[in-house]
Amino acid sequence: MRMVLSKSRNSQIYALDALVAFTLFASILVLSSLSWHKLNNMIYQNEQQNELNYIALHALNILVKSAGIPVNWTNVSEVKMIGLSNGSANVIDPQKVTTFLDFVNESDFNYKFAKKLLCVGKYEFMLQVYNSTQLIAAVGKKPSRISDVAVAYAPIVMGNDTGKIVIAVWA
Amino acid sequence: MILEKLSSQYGLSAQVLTLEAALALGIAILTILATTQSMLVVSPKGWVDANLYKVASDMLLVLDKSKILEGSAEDILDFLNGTLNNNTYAILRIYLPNSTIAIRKPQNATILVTSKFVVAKRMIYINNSLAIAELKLWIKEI
Repeated sequence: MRMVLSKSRNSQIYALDALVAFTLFASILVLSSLSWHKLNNMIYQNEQQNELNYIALHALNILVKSAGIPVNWTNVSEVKMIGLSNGSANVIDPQKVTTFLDFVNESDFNYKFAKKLLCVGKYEFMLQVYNSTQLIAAVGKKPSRISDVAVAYAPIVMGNDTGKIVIAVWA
Repeated sequence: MILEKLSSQYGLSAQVLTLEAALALGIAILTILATTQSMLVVSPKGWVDANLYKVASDMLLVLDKSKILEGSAEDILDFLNGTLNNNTYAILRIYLPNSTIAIRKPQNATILVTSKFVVAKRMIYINNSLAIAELKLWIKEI
């Protein structure tokens, strides 16, 4: 009789033990999967932001550091590579700026062609040109929200004035 | 079976050991997740610094190619104000052969111990004499 009672008590303890272990295991599993999902989401957003930053910086470099190919281009649709400088880094040719901005503003087809020239791929862009005192021109599409936007800017010399070119690339 | 052996060996109940094992596992998982998340939070700042350094070196390039440095301190300050973002602070020092000029944006800008700044330097000609321009940039801490 004593033996039977002892065995029964043991199995009760194991059942309770298993229940506690399962509850803890299940709660840790749920917590881990929730955190994993959140982490994955953060990694994705971080990667996308890094890609946008890289593209914005690259597009800005294309514009301000090079004169383009051919060097003395006058028609955007015929250029092999775009560039707004006069041959010297960050020294911008005002005529090239006007020609390029007018071209982008002309039609959606031209905007898409400009996207190819700036290597922004599937993303959209907005370009702003400032002189030393104010915004003088803005082309492209405005970002619909503040997040998922990469902004890069570079100081420039334009004619006898200084200013800056700002590019925003967004998803 | 293992817990049973341990419990008989050390006189602890299997329940206590299970709880301990589960807690240890939980803490280990949370530590790994917290470490990875903190690394992710830090990484975008690298881009900000890289971009800021590029801006600083481009600013000195433009200062060199334009005639701004041959103008007054107000002209230089106007250039800094017009080009840099509002939340970007700057100290520009021009080391001339016999003196040093310092221009700050804003005019009371001071680098705090906690400020993380970038520095760019460039040798430039001002009125046909060689000078060193040094630009420190940092983002205003909120």
